[in-house]
Amino acid sequence: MALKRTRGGELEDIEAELLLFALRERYGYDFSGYGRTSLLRRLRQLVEFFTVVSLVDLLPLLLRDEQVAQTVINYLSVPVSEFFRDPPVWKHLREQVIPELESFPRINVWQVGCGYGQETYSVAILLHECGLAYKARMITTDISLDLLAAARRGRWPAQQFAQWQANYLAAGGSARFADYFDFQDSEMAIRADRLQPMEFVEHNLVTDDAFLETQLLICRNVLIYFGAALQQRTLGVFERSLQRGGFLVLGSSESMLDSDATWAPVQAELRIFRKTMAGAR
Amino acid sequence: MKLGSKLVLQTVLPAVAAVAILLAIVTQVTNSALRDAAERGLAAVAEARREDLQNHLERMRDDIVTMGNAPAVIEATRQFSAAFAACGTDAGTQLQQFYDSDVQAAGSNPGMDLQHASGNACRSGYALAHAENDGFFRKRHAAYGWYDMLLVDSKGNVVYSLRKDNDFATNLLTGPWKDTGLARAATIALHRSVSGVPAFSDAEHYPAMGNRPAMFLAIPVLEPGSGRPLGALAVQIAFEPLDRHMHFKAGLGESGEAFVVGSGGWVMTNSFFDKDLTVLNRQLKTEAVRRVLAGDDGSDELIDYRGQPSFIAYRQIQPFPGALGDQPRWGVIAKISRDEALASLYSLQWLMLGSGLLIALAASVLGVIVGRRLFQPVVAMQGALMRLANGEKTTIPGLDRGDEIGDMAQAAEKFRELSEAVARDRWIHEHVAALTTAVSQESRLADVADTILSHLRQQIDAPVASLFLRDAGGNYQRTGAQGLARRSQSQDCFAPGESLVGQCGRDGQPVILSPVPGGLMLIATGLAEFPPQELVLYPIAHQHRTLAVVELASTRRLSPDEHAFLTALVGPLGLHLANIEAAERNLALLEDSRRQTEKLSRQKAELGQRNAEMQALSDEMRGQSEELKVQNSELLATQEELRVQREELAQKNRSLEAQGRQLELGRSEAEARARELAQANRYKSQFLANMSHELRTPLNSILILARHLVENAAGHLDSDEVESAGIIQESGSQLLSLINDILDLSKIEAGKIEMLIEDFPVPEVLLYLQRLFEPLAAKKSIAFSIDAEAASTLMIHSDRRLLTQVLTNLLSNAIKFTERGSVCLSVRAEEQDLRFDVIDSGIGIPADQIGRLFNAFQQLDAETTRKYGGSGLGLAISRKLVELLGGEIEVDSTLGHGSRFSVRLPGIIAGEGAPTTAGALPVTSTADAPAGRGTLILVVEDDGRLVPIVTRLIETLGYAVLAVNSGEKALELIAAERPAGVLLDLGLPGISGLEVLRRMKADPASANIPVYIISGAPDNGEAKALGAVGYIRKPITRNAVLAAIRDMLDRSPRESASAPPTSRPQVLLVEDDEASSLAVRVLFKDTDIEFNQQRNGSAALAALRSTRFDAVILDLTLPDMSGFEWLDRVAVEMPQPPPVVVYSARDLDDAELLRLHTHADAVISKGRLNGQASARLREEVLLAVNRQARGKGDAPAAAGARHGALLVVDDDVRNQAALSKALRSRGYTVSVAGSGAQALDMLVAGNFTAVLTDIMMPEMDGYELIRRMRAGTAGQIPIIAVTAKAMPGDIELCLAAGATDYLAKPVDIDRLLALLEKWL
Repeated sequence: MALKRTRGGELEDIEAELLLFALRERYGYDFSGYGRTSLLRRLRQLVEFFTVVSLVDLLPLLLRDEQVAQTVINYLSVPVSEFFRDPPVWKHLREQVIPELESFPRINVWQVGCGYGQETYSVAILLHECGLAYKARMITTDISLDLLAAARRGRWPAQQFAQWQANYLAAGGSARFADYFDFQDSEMAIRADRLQPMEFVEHNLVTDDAFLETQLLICRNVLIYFGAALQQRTLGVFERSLQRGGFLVLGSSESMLDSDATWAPVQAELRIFRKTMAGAR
Repeated sequence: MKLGSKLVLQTVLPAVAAVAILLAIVTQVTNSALRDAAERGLAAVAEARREDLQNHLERMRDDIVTMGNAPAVIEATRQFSAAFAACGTDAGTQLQQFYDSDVQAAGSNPGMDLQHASGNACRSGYALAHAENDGFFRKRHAAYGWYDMLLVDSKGNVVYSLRKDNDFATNLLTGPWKDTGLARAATIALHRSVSGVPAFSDAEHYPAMGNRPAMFLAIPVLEPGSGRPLGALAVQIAFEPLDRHMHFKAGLGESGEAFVVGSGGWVMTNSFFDKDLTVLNRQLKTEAVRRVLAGDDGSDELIDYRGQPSFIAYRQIQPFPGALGDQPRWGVIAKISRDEALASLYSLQWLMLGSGLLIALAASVLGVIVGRRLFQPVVAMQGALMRLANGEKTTIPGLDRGDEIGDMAQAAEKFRELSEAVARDRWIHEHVAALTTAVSQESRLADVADTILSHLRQQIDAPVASLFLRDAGGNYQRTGAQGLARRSQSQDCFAPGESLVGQCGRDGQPVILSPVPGGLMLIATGLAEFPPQELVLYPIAHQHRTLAVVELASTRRLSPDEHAFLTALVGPLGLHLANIEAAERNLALLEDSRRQTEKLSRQKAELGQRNAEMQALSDEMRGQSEELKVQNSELLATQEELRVQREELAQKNRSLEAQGRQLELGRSEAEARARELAQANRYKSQFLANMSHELRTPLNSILILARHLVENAAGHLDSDEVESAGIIQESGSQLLSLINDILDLSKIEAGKIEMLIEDFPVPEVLLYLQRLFEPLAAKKSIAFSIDAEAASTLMIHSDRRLLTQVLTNLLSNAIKFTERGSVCLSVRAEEQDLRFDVIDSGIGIPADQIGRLFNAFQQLDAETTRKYGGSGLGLAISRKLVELLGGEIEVDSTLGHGSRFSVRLPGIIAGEGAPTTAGALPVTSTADAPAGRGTLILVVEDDGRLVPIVTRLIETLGYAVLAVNSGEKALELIAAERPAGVLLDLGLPGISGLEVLRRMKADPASANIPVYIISGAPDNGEAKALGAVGYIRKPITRNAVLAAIRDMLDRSPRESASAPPTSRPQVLLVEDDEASSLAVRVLFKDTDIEFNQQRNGSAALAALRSTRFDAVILDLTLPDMSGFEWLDRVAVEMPQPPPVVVYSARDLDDAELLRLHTHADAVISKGRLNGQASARLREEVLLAVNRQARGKGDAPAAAGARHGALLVVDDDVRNQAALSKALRSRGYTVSVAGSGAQALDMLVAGNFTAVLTDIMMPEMDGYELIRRMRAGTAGQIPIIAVTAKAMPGDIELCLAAGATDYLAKPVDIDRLLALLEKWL
């Protein structure tokens, strides 16, 4: 029996598969449900980053060195974030969603994917300005411990401040945006003491389930990296977590796979959904 | 302060200050001098004592060094050592006894020694040595003043002691005193023996002497010449000499003393003041002791050990500096009480104080006397000035004096005159001002006269006064008069120049008549009349015009001051009068104009109002007409639209109805046939099952028996009989094979074949065939080959057993019908199909018979059958099987040249060498009846596109489905078929969906059938009110249909009877605030909900008892009880209360929320923002009402309390409530903790049989909590971790922390119960 010929692309596929298998078996992180194209692009970047010839060369490092594994995981769960990204979404949250949320005796906010914390603190600022902080609890989760630590620190280069301030104003912010930060050298640091306390927790959407009843769930630009099955699972977790009548905010290019009776679009083009009364408890 | 006192003070103070300063300086100087003297003296004393002590100790060292070298001592050491050694091992005991009992009693009589020792060699030997040397030591003792002297031999035995205490005759290295100071010193002298260097052990309690204090010096005793140590001489140093040195009191006064302290601050000498012994009995921790023991010398003022302030001098001293052994630091301390040392200072201070006071007193007396005399006139003048200042009239004293005081009096006199003038001027101004002020407040001239006159009469003593005002004609008219005696006496009006009044008015000059001539009795009282002394007339002018004249009559002459006053008065009064006059004129004019203006504005307002009314009327009319126009046109358009729609609908309806009828006809026919077929199939299957059993059982017995006979083991049968038996067996086998074939075929036809479709590699099958057929072919000497080169790695998705059966069939046929040549199986892939060819070179098949080759029970011909045997069913079965697998079979044959049977099967998988254990998928033949075929769902829907989608969806769920497109047909079918559920569209042609629903519910036969509404319109609640159980809004999703069907089937069979025909949903509104209650009612105005409002908790409870409510809206603050309490009482009273929606503006804490969650369905906070709480209230209440209307009977069967107490730890209120509810209903007692800290507290307080804990909690997470529980009171009770985390590591973390087991979220209650059962 002759050996099968493989083309270059197939080889890369196999290598990627091996790497993902190793990540799953050794560390419990399962990226196999992630969108294939973007995943492969990231893996290629990893090859360059570690200056190895191919992905297989990365395997021994990955298996033996937890530091490398953490780096790989961070790379694969890329954080892109800014303050009040997509201002119309935030404006809508401020003007339409927050008043509705107020009817809940407790407001638990689950923000998935912490990035470097900009979105987390955006939510905190929003709640603070809307006067709901006193009965809100904020939990931010991510699979990457490093990112969680970075987000908790809340420091960013100050070059982007102007852009973020513009976002904040466009999102209906009325205070002085600069007041939320301490500026030092070329860095800006969040003044967390002005906001309510936040919790940063490790959580893996691939394996872990809902852990709290929430009323507002913000998961933006995470699902786009997931394959269909994983998206379905994640939405299930969200459904279990949200109280009926609670809100789900997705990223601008994410959508519900099929129009499920559980989710009613509040503002479909802003990807804000509400868990309907039809959904069980 | 008065000048006199000041003077006295200034005289006395310097004297006192001088004395005080002197006193302070003297005290300071004396104090420091005395202190210096005391400290110096004390330092000298301390130094002297230290030197004494040092000398004493040095002498002692010299003495012992001398003795250590003395030949007598060396000789004594030798002798005693020898004598001691001669006594053997019990020398100690013997000698102790000897000297205890006898020698001590006899004192130190050497003769006694010998006598008593005579009986014993040891004692006598020792007594001899003792007698010889004891005297020497006693002499030395007397000379040096040691307390005791001891000789130690080289082995450490105390061979001699002057006092023979308990240490005598013991061994210092091993004996009872080996840890004492003596042993320490002696050991050093013995072992590190350096000639002339003593060893010292510091003072400590010596156990061998009843713990009295002791210190020792020891020196080695060396053999002269060789320097070999013979032993050591030790002396116990006496303490009394130290006391003696210290008790020398020179320079210490009454209270002073000196003493020695040793290490640790223990006192080494007895105190002069103490009766008790203090050596090593008193420990001092004063500052002086601390310093001296730290090695400091000095003197200072400190607190002594008795707590008195003292001067203390201290000197450190090192006893025996060159000695080996202990090298302690001692201190000599001398002190004297500060009071005693400074006693002379105090007496000096008293003396100085006394004389100072005396001086101060003398100075004060002198100062007072001098001051008095100097200041008397000054004081008098000051009194006069003070009076002057107060406005009293006075004279200045001392004007006649020639000295400075006289000058001062002159100046004061000038000042007095000036001040009197000023006072007069002020008096005039004040009264002018008072009068003008009063006048300025009047606005009418008539009033002014009275005011002026009464003022003037008050200020000037003028009993009669009169005022003449100039009128418009220039005459002076009397306007006011006071005190006139007779009115007739006087004229009221004077022309200018007429009489004195007119003259005064014309000239503008005052006229004064004094004395008044003629004695006119102008002044009258009730009893008498007097003439006035003076009559004055003063003009009141403004701008050279005399406006008025005032006339006064006085009984005395007016003073110059009063005239000055009147003169000053006329100017200002004139101004005011002119003003008042002008103002009166203006006022009159103003009044006129105001009246006119008012009249005008009234007219104008009336006009404006009339105008506005007209405008509004016209606007309204215009608006109404426009509105009417718009409405009209809209109405027309709508009518037209409606008409068109109606026509279109009618048209559509007609055609649809026709189509429907046809379809229905065809469908029912087909259905009837299908039912018949299914019936037949069922019979056939039963028959086959029976047959296979009935046939095979006896046949099996026959075959077994026949084989037994053929074997003829017993040899009873002859050859014929054996042959017969062989025939029976062969025939039986054929019969069995035939029956099998027939059954196979029938099974296939009846659809009873079980298939197992899976992925498997083709070569495995081929290998099996090769093993099976190669031997058979070899037996017939024909070639057999399998050509599967191309398919060597192919996988196929098919049924392995059936494929093997087909190929076996074909191959066995091929071999059977081939006599020579070859049989070959070739396998290759053709596109997605796999093709098997069985090629033989056998007899072939005639062309006319190929057509019926695959029919059952049809072989080639009778001859063939006879020749080859077989049932002729093989090919038929093969074809059926291949078709079942989705393939096809064909044949190609030439008579006499062989045949080719080709099988094509679909399902190739391009897997190359992948593992063969791919997931198996069991499939039953499609002919088999799907599960639940009996349950029929009726779809009533007129949308032709939607019907197939919905019906297919329901079919795939395994239920029968019928679809109709009109209400009439739906009602017919419902009556005939009694479906398990109905999906009903509302917008139907003909009778509407709601009407269908109404009729269904009206008919008792169909009232129980659950109905789900499908509609494009939003739910307005009407359908539910009519009895529909659910509402699906278009567009329809799969999940919605699925949920609907499940729901309908759930309630289909039993629900029926209990379905309450309640007309309108009842909601209990517990609210005491009328405004809120109204708001709620308005919110639900468009629904058919009927509200029953109760204003307090008890009334609401009563209402709940009497009426069945679908939901409750509860405010938390009620007048008679809290909402929480209300809920608790409801829970106690009712097993299944209606759902409660809490609607409150309260802020709730966690504990309250939990309490609400256990009984309430939803909690809604009225927000502070402009919130949408009401929208959610509406949603929640409608949800509750709907659920209540259909749900029922799903109450968990509350089992009796079975198990112990559980502690649920979770930060999420929802989880807490859900878990505790589920567990309580299963008979557990459940307590809830919202945080790790709370859980720990509860564990301490309560007794739990198991703990369920969440992992992700703020502050203290689950891992930490489990660890603490394990370390603390929890002990080994089962702890089950409930975690949302499911990575492999997380489970390990739970268990490593000490969890007994773990459960992943979302929690499966059954699994949780199983876990609890397992661990409890």
